[in-house]
Amino acid sequence: MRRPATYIYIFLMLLIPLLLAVFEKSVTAQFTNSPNAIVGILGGMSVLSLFFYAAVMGVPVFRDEEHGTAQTYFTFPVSEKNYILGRFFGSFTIVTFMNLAAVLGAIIGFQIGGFLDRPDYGTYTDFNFWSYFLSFVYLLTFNAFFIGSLFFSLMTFFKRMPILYLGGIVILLATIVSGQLVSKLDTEWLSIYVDPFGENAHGYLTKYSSISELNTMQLSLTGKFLVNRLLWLGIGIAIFLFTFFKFSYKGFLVSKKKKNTKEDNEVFEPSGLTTIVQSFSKKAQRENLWSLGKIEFLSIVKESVFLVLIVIGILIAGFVAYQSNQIYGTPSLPLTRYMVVQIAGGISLFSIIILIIYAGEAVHRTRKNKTFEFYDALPVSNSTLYLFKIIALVGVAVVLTLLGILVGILYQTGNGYFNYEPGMYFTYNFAKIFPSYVATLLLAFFIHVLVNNKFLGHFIVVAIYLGVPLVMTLAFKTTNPLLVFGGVPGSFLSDLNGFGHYLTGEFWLNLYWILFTCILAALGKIFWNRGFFSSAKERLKLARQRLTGKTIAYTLFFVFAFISVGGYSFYNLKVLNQLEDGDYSDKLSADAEKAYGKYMDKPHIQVIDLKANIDIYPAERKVDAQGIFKVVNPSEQPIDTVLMEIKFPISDTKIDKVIYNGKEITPFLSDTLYRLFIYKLPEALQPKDTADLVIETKVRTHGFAMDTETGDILLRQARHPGRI
Amino acid sequence: MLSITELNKTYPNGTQALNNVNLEIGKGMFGLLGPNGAGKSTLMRTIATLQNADSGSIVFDGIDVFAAPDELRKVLGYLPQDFGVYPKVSAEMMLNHIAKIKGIQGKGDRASYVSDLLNKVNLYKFRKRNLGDYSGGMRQRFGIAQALIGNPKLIIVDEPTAGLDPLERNRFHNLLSELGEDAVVILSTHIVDDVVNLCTNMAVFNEGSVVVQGHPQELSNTLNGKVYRKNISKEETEKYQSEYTVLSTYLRSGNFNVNVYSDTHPGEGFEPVNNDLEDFYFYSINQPQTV
Repeated sequence: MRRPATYIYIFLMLLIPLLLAVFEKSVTAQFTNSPNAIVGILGGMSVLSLFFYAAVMGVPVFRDEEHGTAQTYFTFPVSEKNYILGRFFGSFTIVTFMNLAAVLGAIIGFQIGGFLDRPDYGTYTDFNFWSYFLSFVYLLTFNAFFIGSLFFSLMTFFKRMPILYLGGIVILLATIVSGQLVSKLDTEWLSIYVDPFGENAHGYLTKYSSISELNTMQLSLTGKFLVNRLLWLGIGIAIFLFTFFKFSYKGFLVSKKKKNTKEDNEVFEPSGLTTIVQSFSKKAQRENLWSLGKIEFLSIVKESVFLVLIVIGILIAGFVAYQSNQIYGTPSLPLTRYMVVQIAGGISLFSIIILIIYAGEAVHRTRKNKTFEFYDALPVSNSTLYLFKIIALVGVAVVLTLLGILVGILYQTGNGYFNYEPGMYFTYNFAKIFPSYVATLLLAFFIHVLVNNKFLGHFIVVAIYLGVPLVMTLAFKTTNPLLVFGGVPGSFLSDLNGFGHYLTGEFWLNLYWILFTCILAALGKIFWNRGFFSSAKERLKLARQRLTGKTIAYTLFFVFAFISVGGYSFYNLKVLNQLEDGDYSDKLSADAEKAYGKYMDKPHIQVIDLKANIDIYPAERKVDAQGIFKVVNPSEQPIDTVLMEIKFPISDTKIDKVIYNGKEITPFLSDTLYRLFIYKLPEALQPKDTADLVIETKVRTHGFAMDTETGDILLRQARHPGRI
Repeated sequence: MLSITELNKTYPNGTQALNNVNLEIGKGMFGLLGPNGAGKSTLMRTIATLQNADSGSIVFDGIDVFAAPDELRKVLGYLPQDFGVYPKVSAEMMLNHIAKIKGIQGKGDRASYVSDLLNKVNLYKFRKRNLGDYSGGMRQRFGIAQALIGNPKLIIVDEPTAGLDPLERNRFHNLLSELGEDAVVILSTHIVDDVVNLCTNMAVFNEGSVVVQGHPQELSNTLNGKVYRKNISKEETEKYQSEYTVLSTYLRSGNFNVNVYSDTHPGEGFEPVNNDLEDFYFYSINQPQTV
């Protein structure tokens, strides 16, 4: 309890539900803080708290082992059973505090939400103790117990940190899978058994609930939800009892590994080597960098936990591919272009998790196994010590990317489909997926270098990786890829065009983010821990010392490159094309409604005949269109104005020419923002009269844009003369 | 030649680990003798470029250790007090790896060099065994082997014999005695025997400063004729501690004895003894020791 990290965990468990509650929005008649919403937040919190539960419940026993205090404890007159009880419930008490903090956070958050007058966030109902209490018991406490027992048990019997990671990942997977299952009609029954956190089971229960039910029904142990809770609570209890009875001091301390007593009876022959040459040339240093990197890389990929994670990743990818390569339940041919997208969807999140974990491990490895004491005194430069780990991690990223390709090919082969299109595989994976891996691992590496606590480091990385996009989308309502970490413009893979022109935009944005993380990496280097450090102050002093000319030079280089690429991207995204925040289009529509609403009831002309000439230039991505209309005035009044609204999604769409009965007319009102133009007819069109109208439009694209340009141009074009 | 000038370091929790340390150490085996917590390890780590000091300087053969740690690392051999190993790597592979980092290129030469080294520390027979399966003594020998790679000019050995049994300690002494012919070797220890057996020069280090420096035998001789022993009972210890300059209290053949320092014969029951470095050590650190 005295560890500062524990307080940080508790604080975070208070803060996150608080923020979630404050930003919780209800767009239906469901109360913003309905019992259902509260369940959503607190249930979701259980999933996030996986990290914290792991840190609090898995680590104490491990620490006893690591610090050797185990042996001392075991000589006290404490029976094995009492030891287990003590350790478990001690940690569980802390976990309960954390859960209470979460509930408190949610309560405060909703109170704040209700207090702020935000009509578009929905209506709030009164505080109901039971909504919170029931979620606390049935979700938070039950989940914490299950997870706690699991981690506690894993650490007690396996005593290795990677097992903790593995356990966490398996649980997360189970949740994700159950989420998938609940959405499909024929598999939703399975979801309740697979969901350890209860959230999806609850979702299943309330899938068809009415809004008033959602507003009034409290969480209760009924039906399928009860089954789920009993099942997982039962599993938790079973695990705990197993640990309780099976634990023995001896078993804990004695290593089961047989010691290798290899002895070589070869007789030593002196080599007669009298002098050796020591070389510290640049070439030698580079070779050292590579061989150190190779060793680190091998120590990551040869670890049994890594291999297990890979296998799980492959299984997930296969599963996801199978599930999503269906159109309403009918499987499609596993075309390469489906494969790359779906496999990537399945495996990339997993790979990111692996990269984040091993970035943390790499940073802390030499500290943990205490080899740093003599490593750091060796004639290796700081740069080498820092870079070789990054190289190893990039190697791991390559392996994971290749794995994605391999899985796709295997899946296709397994389904009897042999048109592999390796070019597409490689382009997709190395142009889209690989850069995101590199950016993420560099970010994770940087965070771990700065923060000394491994779990906290992991948490911060995940918070940034998930939180920043969330905050940007929800709070700031922007999808600007320059602001969202790892964001890239949308893209579309097609049989006709392959990657089309989208790769350009992706390339620039990927480069942008990699440059950003390179800046972080350059900064991280000056904070790298070599030898013994005492305090943050000393690290800062050391960092200032390490800011040599060379370091500043290439940091500035990265900064400069970053700003240039960012500027170029900004130019493309916002200047040449359009990229606005979520509220912008709402506001625009609102303004337009205020300005032009008065035209709604006025009589409009009707199209009775149309001939369309449309020239599409796919290579230049431009369209020239001409519509020759015959229009009639169907009303009893003469019409003297025509209103045209451009609805085509590409921003640079212009009405080039409008010819009315042979005469060219120009708009007297041009709203280029809303793309609405009002033309006055040279002479009013009398009731029941017809006229000829020719409209020519030009669509041009420039640079790269955020949105994809979908292919239903023809459809749009025909509908193009807006609300005539 | 290693020159340490006005070295100071205070830890954030207020402990002053190094207090105006001044030392000049030439070639040969130098013993740094001091109790636990004296600051020896801090000093060793600072010289070995693993820690920074608040003020002062360390210069070795013209290399300013704080300004150019990379240069010192090229000629440094460091055996830490407490180090870990990669459990699944063999001794041979690990030494090869370190030899490469220490600049010994050329695969063939390096392999021969490592073999010679393993033989020197008597680990040739066990070279293919994983480091995780090494006993304590073997691990220390491995440690000294890695410190010796590259024929370093400055060798720092931090508490090398703590935890070794007498046989292993002896073996280790034999190993260490071969060094020091062409290098500055600093042996940091709290075991007086190590210094007696091995060192040509020494200093007593306590509470962050050098208490006294000199040749072990000469320093020991300064107490000649001034150390007396008396057989007493345990209950009388406190009385003697207040009346005399007690150096140590200890059991010998089941009897409780006290050694005191006195310029003149202290009187009844005391008999002069052949004083040794241990007496001098206790005298220097100025605290009665219960052995």
